[in-house]
Amino acid sequence: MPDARLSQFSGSGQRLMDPEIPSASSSQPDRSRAETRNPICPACGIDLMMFRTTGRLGCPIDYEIFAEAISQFFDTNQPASVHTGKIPGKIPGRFDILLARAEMKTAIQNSDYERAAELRDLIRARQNRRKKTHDH
Amino acid sequence: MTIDELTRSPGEWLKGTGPESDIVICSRIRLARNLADFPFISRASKTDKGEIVSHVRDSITESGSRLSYFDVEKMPELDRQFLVERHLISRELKEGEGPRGVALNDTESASVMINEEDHMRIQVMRSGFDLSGAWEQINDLDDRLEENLDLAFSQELGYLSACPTNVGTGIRVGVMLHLPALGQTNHLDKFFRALQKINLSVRGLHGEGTQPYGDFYQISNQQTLGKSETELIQSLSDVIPQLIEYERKARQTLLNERRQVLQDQVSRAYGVLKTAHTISSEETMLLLSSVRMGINLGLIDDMTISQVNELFINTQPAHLQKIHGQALAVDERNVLRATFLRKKIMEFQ
Repeated sequence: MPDARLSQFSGSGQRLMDPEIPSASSSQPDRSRAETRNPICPACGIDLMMFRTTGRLGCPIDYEIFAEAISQFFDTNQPASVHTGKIPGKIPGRFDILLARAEMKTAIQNSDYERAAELRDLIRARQNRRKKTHDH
Repeated sequence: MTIDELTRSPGEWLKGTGPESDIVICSRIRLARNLADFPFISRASKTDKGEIVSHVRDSITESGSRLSYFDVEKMPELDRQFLVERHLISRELKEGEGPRGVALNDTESASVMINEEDHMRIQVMRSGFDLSGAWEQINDLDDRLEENLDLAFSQELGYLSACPTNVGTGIRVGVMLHLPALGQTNHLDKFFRALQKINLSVRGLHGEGTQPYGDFYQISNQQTLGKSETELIQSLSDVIPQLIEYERKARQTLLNERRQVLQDQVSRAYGVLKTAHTISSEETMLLLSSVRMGINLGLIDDMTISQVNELFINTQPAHLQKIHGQALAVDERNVLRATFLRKKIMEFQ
């Protein structure tokens, strides 16, 4: 089952990660980690302390990872916490490439070049597929 | 288009035309957008940033938007400062690291900064008070760019930005005003406090973190989530005409009650600009602010607002050096600025 709290990032309730891109467990956003006192984003690596210090997020997935802290910010700074404005013509829905990129960087750091090459090819294939969709 | 070609005109925001242009210098809207497949800039590697530039440039080309790209990473310092002075790039983009740039249209009314705080900062500027025209233009450009990009967007939170202060619409709607009479009659604080109560912010000429100078102020929205783009634009469209009205009344009051003092102030400012032999950019801006008000009140009749605007932009440090063709020290710039002003004002007459 997809994590319900992550489903806000997938317009049609699709899974955040695509099953075609197998992921190491360390790269999956998981609820238990997000609920720790200082959660860390699996995609960009920033933790809650870094976000609080800089006021900047590291990637789109952080809006879920630090949802509680961000929601407190909205309570005092925004008139409401739900978007009512413009909607793009198409919504990608999943952040699978973003997560795959993060895993690829980790694989390179760990000298797991075989895995890095696999992920690189998957990212390219996915981007090419999207590009073809755009062209039609 | 090259940077040197831009020196030939003052650019869109200083054209001095458009509705209410005696008080409203320009209207500006920007949209913050990010690509779904990359981390935000603070966590992006050099390779990521290079790929982001490449994706955005491809989408610009495919959109048929006719924007010329300038590589800010490889650009000389003087050219970067030149673009900051023209409000075409921010200080953050100028001082940033790694692959980054800006794409501009021929009239400089539309620009796309790549790899600033967000992957894309789309901006439209219109001379005078024209927020609806600016929204129409930027909404169309945004539509065309997104056709070939996968943007970070959530159904609940809207466009996802690097800073939660921009999430939702990602919009910043701003109007730059010249309010010298309200400044002189000590009414500005009262108005600015009222604006802050309705969640509008007041900033100086160059935006965030800058001090108001020469009675130029930028009023903009602070909220971005929970209201639509048109609602946020409307909140400024409702309040700006009131400020314009108050400034006009304050100018009339000054004319009626302190005409001699006002005439003296304007004439002295004009006199210094026509005769000085060394002058800083700050003093020039203050004096041009007085001359600008003098022209609008009919106290000076041998110069136009567009000529004042031309002097205003061309006496900024980087503009002065670009026109002169070489980098100069501060003292040299001050002498050159005074010479430039004397020569130009004589030509205008």
